[in-house]
Amino acid sequence: MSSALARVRVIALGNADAGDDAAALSVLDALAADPVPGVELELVRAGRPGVGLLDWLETELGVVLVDVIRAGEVTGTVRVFELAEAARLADARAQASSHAFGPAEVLRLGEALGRALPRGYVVGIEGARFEPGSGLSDEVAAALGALRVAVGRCAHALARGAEEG
Amino acid sequence: MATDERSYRVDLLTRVEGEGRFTLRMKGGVVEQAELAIFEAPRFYEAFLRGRSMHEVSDIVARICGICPVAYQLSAAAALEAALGLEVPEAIAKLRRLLYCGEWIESHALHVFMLHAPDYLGYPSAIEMARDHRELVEQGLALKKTGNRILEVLGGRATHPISPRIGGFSKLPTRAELSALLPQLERALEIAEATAALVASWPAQELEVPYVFVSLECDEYPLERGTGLLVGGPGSAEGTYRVGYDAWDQHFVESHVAHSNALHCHLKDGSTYLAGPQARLFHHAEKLHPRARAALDATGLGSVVTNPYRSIVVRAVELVHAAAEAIDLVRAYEPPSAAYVPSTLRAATGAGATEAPRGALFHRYAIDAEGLVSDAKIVPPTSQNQARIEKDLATLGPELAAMSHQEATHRCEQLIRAYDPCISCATHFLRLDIAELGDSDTGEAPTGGEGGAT
Repeated sequence: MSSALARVRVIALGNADAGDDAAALSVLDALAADPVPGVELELVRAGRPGVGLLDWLETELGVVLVDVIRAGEVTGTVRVFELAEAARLADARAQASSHAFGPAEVLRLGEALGRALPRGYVVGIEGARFEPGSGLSDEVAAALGALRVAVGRCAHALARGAEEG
Repeated sequence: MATDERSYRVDLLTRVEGEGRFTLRMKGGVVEQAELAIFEAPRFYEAFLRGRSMHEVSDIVARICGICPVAYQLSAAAALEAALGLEVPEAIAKLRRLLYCGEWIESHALHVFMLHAPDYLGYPSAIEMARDHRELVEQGLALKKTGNRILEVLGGRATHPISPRIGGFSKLPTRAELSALLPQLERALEIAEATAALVASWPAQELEVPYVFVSLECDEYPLERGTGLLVGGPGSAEGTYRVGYDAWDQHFVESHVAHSNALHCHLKDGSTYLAGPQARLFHHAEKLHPRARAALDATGLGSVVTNPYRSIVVRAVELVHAAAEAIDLVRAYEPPSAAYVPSTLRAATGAGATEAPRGALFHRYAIDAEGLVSDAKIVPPTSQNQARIEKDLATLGPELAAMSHQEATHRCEQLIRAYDPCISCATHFLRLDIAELGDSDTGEAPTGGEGGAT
């Protein structure tokens, strides 16, 4: 049995200067400062990569995609989806600009291209405000711990799957 | 019918960079109003650069655009180096050129494949197009990835690079790092050549515009540096003439218009002009890389492209140029003796420009004796092209009158997209809204075309 830790890629999306859009990046910083024990995380501060997200999803590693979501939940609610389920649920806009190539559009584009999704999860936190310079809402700031825990659990699940698989 | 009044309005333009809206109003087949509105909040970059160290400018202006940050960084470097009286060695200039090639590749690939191609192949977006044209979209993504990789290796990261600075770079790549790019670049060149042939074969709408073309003056096909600006073209009454950077204010005027948060730029006599690929080709076709020149010749297009719907072909030819030249630059790379040339502080004003993917990008800075910016001026290409786009929209009038409302609105969008406007660098989704007026209508669009940001 190998002693090497299983490796999982954590991709954080968002904008550090746009209110709750900074949530995933904040959690990535927390994971860098205080790593999750028992799993090796490859931390990717992707920001707003546009179609470049497809490249980050092209991996043999398990993937945890962390982003702010708008799902009509109470602000700060943390939701976990399997990546494939998120691709199905995502509200991709057919008329997107290049700047609007968010994860929903990227997952749909990957599907249209016949690209296989990696094993993984989307961990989302319900956001409320996105104005430039506004900072995190109190609700999202209070839920960052829960977001971090959810990311850690997903990473462990993927690591176990990798070891078993 | 003389009383026929029609209004075409798209509240959020699709497949462009950033948020914009257009409104076209016609009466009796005559266009009464053609406006391309940029309604995103102004970002005041020029204002908040004041008081900052000149060494901070590169990192700040990179944030203006996520698609063409290198253009902002190197235009700023050109202007500040002019102020400081600093000349960079040729080896540094060549590295900057390679970096710029990377930006052209990723930006042009994005526009040609993801934004513009759906107009020719009849799809609402690249996602729908990808289902039927998988290989084409994969090629576009491969090109974009190649451009991004150059930015990562030379700039430290693909978006908002961190290594460009006054006098050169903060870190130099090794020969091995650059040589590792070659397989990707060679594949990119093959794709670009095939793309030029492909897009040239796509039927395009007819529209001839008597452009005045503005691009940099340069001994090479212009990218990362120039010695001034060239003004000329089929619409120029004065032939082709040169404008030194220091004389910019004597030849160009920026002005506010009520309907837009972006300044409109005109020539001093009030006439419009075009910056970008067609302008570069007009002034510098003979300086294209031989592979790009061959690609252009094979299209049969010639060097004076006055149909905006053919801009996709010129952009594809420039993809060939950027890939071919990047290969040459990588093969010839000898690391400079130093990553950058140090500068000596002095109070001065300097101006410079580079050729952003969308056209000439002019910067001017005044710095004080401590190296703090006391004044900044930034003139992006979309600001320069905006008035020209509006004028072209107006020329569509008679053609639009014979179309259904939906077709006419779509035609207007296609024309705007042909100019590849980079309206701003915000990330927002886009929705379509159309308003049709009868004689008694007010001209206002119905609600539902949301200007909503995500």
